[in-house]
Amino acid sequence: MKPGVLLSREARLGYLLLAPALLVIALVALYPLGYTLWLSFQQKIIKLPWLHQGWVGLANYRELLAADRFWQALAHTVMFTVVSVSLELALGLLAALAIHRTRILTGLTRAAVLLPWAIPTVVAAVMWLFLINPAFGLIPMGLRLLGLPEAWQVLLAHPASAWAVIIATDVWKNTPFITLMLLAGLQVIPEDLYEAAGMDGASRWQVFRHITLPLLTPAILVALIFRTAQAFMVFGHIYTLTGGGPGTATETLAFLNYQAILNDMRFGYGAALSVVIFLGSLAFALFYLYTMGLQIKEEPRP
Amino acid sequence: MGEIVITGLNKTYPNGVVALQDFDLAVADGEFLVLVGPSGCGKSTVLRCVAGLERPTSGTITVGGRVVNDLPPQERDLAMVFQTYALYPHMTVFENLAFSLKMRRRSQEEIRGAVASVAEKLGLGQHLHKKPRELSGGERQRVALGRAIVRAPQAFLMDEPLSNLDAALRVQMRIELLKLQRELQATVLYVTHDQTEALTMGDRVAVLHSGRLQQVAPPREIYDRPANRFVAGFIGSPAMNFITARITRGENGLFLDFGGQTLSLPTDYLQKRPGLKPYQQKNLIAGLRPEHFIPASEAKTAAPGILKIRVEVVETVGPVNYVHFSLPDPQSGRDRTPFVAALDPSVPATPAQDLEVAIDPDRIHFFDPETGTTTPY
Repeated sequence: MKPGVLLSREARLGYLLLAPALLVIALVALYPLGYTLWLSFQQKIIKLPWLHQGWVGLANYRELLAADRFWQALAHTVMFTVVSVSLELALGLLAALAIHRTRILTGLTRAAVLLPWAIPTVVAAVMWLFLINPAFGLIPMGLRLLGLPEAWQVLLAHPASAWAVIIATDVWKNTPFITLMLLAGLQVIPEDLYEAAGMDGASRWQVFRHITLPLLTPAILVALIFRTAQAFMVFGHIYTLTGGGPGTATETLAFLNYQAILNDMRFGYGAALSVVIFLGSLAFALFYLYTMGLQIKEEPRP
Repeated sequence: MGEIVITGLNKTYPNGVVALQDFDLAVADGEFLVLVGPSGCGKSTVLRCVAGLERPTSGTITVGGRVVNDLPPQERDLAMVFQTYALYPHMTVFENLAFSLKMRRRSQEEIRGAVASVAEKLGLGQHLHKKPRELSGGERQRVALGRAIVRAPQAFLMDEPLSNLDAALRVQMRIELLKLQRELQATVLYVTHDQTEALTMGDRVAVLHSGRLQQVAPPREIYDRPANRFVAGFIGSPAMNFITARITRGENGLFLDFGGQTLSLPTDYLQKRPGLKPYQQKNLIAGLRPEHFIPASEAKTAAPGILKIRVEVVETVGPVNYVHFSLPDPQSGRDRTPFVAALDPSVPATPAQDLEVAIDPDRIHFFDPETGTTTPY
């Protein structure tokens, strides 16, 4: 038998073994994505069945790009993503470093830190609604004690303070996720590297800057990609806390998407919005990979 | 270069484990001192206390005349070579070597010059741009060494630096490391569990057991005059044979009884070794090194100690054969005590064969059966 024949037979077996996994990916990921893309070129408005239904080309996208509300929501989404993910990364890193060095009650600390993450978004948001309730909430009560005017105490009435509440809710809930990811990353860094760096004369800050941070980059990258993709699709907090208000001041892309599909029943237009959200998440992920991922890829694995 | 002086070092871990007890040791300027002992004896603890990676419970450590007890590792001016090498995986060989100088904010030219000279000394020139994972074990070991010598520190601490190398490379690196140390006139505190490394490398050897220092002496003295039964058994390979023995005075001379056999001793034996006098007619432990056995036919002394043995197993190792046999030893708590003799391969020895071997009585070591210390010479 020629070696080539043997190889191709092995290759065929390889593809055969790969097939079930590829099929599952195709069914659960590629098909919905493809269907959404196809839908975004259609006009499909269930409330207005007498209108033309079917292929309209780029009309949905044209409408989208012409709408001020879309651009406003895009800006909101990007702002929310950048601010909340940055805060979560900073706080998550601090918490992970602190917990990593904790020598007592390790199980309890870790469980306690993870708790907010285990609470469903809507439940967490409702809890924050109670906290900021102008009549009996803890936070307005504190603001009153500080002597701030009464108008300021209705936090959801002003765009800036409404965003502050939304971001606080998100940071409170999702920082634990980053903490957990980074803690796992910290635990695989060998202790003797820190000792060697100390012997080499590196200060605590230099050890962090030259040893911890570079070796933690893969974990940071994974955490950022996960969190950014989620933040870019933020809906739960908005829906529960502000309903997009005051006015349209806290509308995000996912919130517009919800309104397009479930209020207006405009499936084609909604699909176009979905595609934009997908592209936005993808852009963030690629940005991370290009800025941080290159350092990782450089290292050939044995 | 500076000397390291450790006085009254004690280390007890929070869980109550006593790692070190009243440990005193001085490594002279330019000396290569090997701290050797079985795993768990506390030798790494000594090194880590000197390095500043662990806090001693009590005691004083000085480096180059300066008490360093309360200084962090960064300020002790010591370099350490780790057993795992602890190379920075995300940095190239150049960056690994340059790291300590960079942390000290030396100029770019100075760093380049120092790294280049170290790389040349260790033959790492063509690897400077590589990451540690692309290097072989021996090359990584050199990088670890280079990282230590790139800035001339007060002293070097080495924690089993050769134990991850294969046997041939280890022998080679042993020589290279010694040459390097002589060249740099470096003060080295070297920790190992390998007694061969200790004997071959150390200017002096310190033997540690259960957190207590047993003996500090030049290798020759450690081998010839072990301070106690532990040192005698730990140093030397194969290990020294031990058996309960008794010195008796008969009508026609002095005898040594052990293993159901009687060796006649020279009549002036107790004059030469007066320390044995109090032990006459009493049990003591005799220690016989495998390499000190010779075939009975070659014995030259007037009163050779001849042993009649039955060969059990013969191991061929090349230059010698290890002939295994056993002798009855009721006092030791087991019926028979295993013995090894290293004999020249020209001596015919096959299992179940009866053989006569001799040992020079002057080369027999004696230990107090209670304390295990060597009887005075």
